[in-house]
Amino acid sequence: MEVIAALISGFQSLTPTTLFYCFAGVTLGTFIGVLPGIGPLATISMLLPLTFHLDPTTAIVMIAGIYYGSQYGGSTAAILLNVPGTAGSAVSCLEGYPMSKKGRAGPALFITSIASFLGGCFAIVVLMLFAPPLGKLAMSLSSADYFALMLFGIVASIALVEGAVLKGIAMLVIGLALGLMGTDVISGQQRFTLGIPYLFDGVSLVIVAMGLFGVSEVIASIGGEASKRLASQRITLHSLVPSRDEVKRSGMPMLRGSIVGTLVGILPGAGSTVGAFMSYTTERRVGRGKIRFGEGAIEGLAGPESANNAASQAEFIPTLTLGIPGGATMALVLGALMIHGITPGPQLITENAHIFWGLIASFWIGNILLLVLNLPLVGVWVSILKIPYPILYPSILAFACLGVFSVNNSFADIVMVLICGVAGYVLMLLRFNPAPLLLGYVLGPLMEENFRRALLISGGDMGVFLNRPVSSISLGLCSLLLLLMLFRALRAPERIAPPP
Amino acid sequence: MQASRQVDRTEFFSGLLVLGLAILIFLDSLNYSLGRLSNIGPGAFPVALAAILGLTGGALLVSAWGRFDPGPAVKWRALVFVSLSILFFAFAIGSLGLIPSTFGIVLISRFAEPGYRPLHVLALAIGLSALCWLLFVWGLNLPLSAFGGLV
Repeated sequence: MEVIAALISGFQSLTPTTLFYCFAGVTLGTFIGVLPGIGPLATISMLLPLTFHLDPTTAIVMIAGIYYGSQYGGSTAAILLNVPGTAGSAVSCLEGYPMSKKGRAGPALFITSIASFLGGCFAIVVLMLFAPPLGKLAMSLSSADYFALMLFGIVASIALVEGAVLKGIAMLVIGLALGLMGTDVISGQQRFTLGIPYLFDGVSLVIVAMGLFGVSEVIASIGGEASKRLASQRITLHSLVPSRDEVKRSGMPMLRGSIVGTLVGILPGAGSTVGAFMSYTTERRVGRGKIRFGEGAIEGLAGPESANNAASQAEFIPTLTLGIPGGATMALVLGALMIHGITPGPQLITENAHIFWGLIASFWIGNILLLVLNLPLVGVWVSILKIPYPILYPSILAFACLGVFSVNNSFADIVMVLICGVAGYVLMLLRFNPAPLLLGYVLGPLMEENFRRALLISGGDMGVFLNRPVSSISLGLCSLLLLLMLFRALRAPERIAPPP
Repeated sequence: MQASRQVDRTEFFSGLLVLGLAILIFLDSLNYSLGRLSNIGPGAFPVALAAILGLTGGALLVSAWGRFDPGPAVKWRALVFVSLSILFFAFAIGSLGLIPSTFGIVLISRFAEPGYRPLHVLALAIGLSALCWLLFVWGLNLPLSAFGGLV
């Protein structure tokens, strides 16, 4: 009952302004989710400067709205064009596009909206029930525990991504180092600044994120698939209605997908993409011998769609209760909180209860808005696929530059965005995924500070990391994951067929 | 010269980049004190990071052999015009004002893709300037003027 009372207070704390930005966030999220070539990470990076001008609750509500809104929109392009709108909806191509080829695009879109909604709701309930007690538990964590948990988070984020382990580690470590740039909090020493005054405070998150995910994404997308897309189908409201059989077959997959997605979302390092893939594997296992996958099986669409939404909501659990982000998007959420002077972590739920419960209340409102936006207006979203990229990218660039400039009125910031953008493009060319870099950038200073403080308190005794249950278990899991990665790396050459 | 063809250039350049960064980080962190275990200095973490990065870079270099990859294809046109447009914007926003800067970024960046249609681009520039002015000056009260320097 305590939870209900807190939720009601959350609803009461939402101002009309916050509600407006919630609406703006989910609408924009659906919009960029539908469009292939621009994802939630790029959008949030580019809108981060605008949140400087908002109050913290409103800022987080809008950022969150963009993120989960994009999970709704992502399936549209996957179903109609066989091109995922966001990474989390890549799985939806597998069954969604065959359904569309069979003339069942309408029901596929309908079922994905419902599945997304149910998955989101399931994860919000879990978030409401488990985040507050987890936060209380986290109050007793020491510096050593935090260091170990963060280490586990970053190791897991590398281990759970298939392939390219080395490049993932490299990105992460470069991010950690970049995070240290500027003045050291403990000793006052300036690091990696090359004596340039502009770098004395380090490079801000806004600039790094906008360069790496905004500008480089634009350069990479020009002249690519996103430029040549054509929307083929018209979707009428009438064509959305699924058959009774389709509804019946989607029920259980949605439930299983919600559970799988929520569990994956809570894990540090794994987000909606991993959740959707795991749900698809689950459905294949459950339906083996009975269902023909790959030919438009609605089970394989409903499950992953529930899972990616559930995961995107559940990712807020470690972020808000421990202050440990699971992925790059959550790192941005943390960054936005820190910009407003709010320390993410267990204190958030107790000291800033209005932000926490306001955010949860906005999740409910946002998901209902998304259901309303997605079902009757599906035709509008489909027509968005016709917007040519040559109109889109100059607009993106202009907004991004103005946004960065608006933070400090500094033209050097814009030049720095360009430098980060070019660096990001080089990384993309070399097939690095820059997402772990951002995670490292946010966690770098926190990890170093906790590590040093833990040893300062223990007087240099390394045993401090093994004496406490949370830290020793986290470190144990870390070693396990590292062994697993080593095992996989040693076995990998066999899987790649030797060239003839 | 069969052996020289069996190199994955993407991985090779990646390894070089990572190794180079590791060396730079290591050299810079020599300037900071390592401290003792009971009071770790500002140099310890960077040195550890440089070591991990160095190992990773080395492993990437090694893994590049025995496979072939022609290496990345750079989109020079997109890279050059997007960069130029952002540079123009950076220098114009403080002196020329919001509308000339927005016009500039649209007109220049549009060269990044083939098929320049002047009227369409002009229409986009006009619409976008109006939108940016509404959003940033009218909506967010930023100290920018439509033409000329900061307010």
